[in-house]
Amino acid sequence: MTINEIIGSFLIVIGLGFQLFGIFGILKYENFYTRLTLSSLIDSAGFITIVIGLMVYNGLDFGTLKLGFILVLMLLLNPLSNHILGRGAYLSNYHPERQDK
Amino acid sequence: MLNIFMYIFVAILVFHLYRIIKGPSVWDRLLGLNLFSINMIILMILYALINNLHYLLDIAIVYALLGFISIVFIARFIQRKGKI
Repeated sequence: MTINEIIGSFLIVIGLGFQLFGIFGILKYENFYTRLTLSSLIDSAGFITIVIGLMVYNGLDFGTLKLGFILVLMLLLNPLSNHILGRGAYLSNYHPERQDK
Repeated sequence: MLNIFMYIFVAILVFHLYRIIKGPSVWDRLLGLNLFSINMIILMILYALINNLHYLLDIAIVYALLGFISIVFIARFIQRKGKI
């Protein structure tokens, strides 16, 4: 287990932790808009930590450059898609009554 | 080491599938679809790194773009009740 793999795996586990927090939150709350903010937790925190961990795991080669490109791409696209979902839901006046316990 | 992570991410993927099926409204299903495609990208990257197939990373890039575009247009289609 080289030093790359150890640090990379550690980062991936942290990213996994973020994903599990997000999933727990989605299970807990019934309100759509609360879920939307929690899903952005999965998107931004979880995905970025995991991809950075994979980049560290992969060391320095051409694949890491592609991983970096995916990272930058998702940095731009994820918040945008969450915004579009929230806007579309709100404008089509979807208001679930507040049931989060 | 990465194989273990693949099993975990498949479990998370199944959860998002459950969210897509159960989601009370269409918007919850779209949210599940969004999260599903993100975890699919992670799985693709993991598989590409395990077997050293670097062309799969390009497919993950294309899949990210397609996932985003599909979310945009489905949300637009639902919001405008059929009239793009």
